[in-house]
Amino acid sequence: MNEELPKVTTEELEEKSIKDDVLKGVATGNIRMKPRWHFVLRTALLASGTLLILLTALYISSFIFFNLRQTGILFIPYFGFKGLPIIFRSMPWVLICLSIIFMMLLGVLAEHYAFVYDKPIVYSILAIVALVVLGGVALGMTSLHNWHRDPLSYTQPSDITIGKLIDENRDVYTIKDQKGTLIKISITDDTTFPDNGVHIGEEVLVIGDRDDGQIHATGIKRLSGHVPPPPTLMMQP
Amino acid sequence: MSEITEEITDESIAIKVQKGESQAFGLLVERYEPKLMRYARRFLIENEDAKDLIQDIFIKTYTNLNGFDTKRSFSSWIYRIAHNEFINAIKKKKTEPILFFDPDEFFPHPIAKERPDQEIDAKQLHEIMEKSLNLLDAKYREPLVLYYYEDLDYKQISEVMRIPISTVGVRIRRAKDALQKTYTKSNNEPL
Repeated sequence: MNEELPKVTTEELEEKSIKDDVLKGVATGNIRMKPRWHFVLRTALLASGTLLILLTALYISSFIFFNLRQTGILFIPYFGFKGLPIIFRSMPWVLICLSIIFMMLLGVLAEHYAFVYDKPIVYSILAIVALVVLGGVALGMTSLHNWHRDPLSYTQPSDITIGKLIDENRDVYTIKDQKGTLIKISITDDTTFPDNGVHIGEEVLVIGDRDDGQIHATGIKRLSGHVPPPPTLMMQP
Repeated sequence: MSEITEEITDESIAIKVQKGESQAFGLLVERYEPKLMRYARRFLIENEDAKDLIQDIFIKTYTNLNGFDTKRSFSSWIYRIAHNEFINAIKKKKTEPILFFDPDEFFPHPIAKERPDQEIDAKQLHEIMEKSLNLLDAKYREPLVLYYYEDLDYKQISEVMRIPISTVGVRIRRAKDALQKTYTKSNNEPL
């Protein structure tokens, strides 16, 4: 008695084989589902890692901005091309590199989120840079880094000096810097001044090389406390 | 498993499996095995291991099923697992280069619109794809396969490949152009 067997295609055999193999593995316990907490933990770690990296990047960025303001580097563009070499020499490059590294890390972590990877990378980069830089500027203007305001706790670039103008002669001014030291400033015809000049009692920023405790001023900028002087005092040396 | 019918969505089946009805997973295997096999055969140049890869994909799918958000599309999720598996297979075999960084993903591109002659294109394209798909780079071949054979839309392909939606459009357009050139060239060659 020949019983006709149903025809089975190769594809059906393959299908049966994979399905059966997987279900057999599941039934015997060889293939196990990872518990839900595993994924919750992974998601939480990713989110908190991203947040932590963002906060660190913001902190570093705000510290860079604070540092630029505190050391006076932020005001150097006022002097135009004269100030360029000073800017390149005095920028806190280590902090800037660190900030870039954290921004890159942030980019890598953010790529796990659909709202980031479904857009061109240039948008993510611009968004991250804008967030970290603008956030850093905003935070840098708060009291976050006040503990670091002591002039002894940071390195002042050698060719930038900030202090209060306490005496002015024809070609030698005297300022008292943030550490209380009296410094002579030699003025030449090439020294750049603000339009209304500078006046005793004002806080000023001086750029120029130091030599034997004296600064050969390339430029002077008023930082604060300017009161328009009487016309007779507007003459510049 | 008896109450599971063809009308039940993949996501509903996934919920059942998550709740412990592991036999329901068989239905997902039945639904996706032919699709993934087709995806593998068209995407992978050397596909003698395709069956093993598909089995690994289902094992990974089951293992990670608790991580699947049932509010999202199961299809995109399983194709994402398959994509990772296939890319790893290509890297392992070193059959073709997989770029770590692709400038296409960097800048925004306008999403390519279908041209008026798309009907002719579609007919020709399927014919050409059957013959010349393997001539394309993996980065162009994959979105083409997902779009024309697996019926995934740009958004889904973006989720599967984790690339910007506009890049999906650019790659499909470039892949079609490359195939068109191949077709024109082969038709103009003297016999």
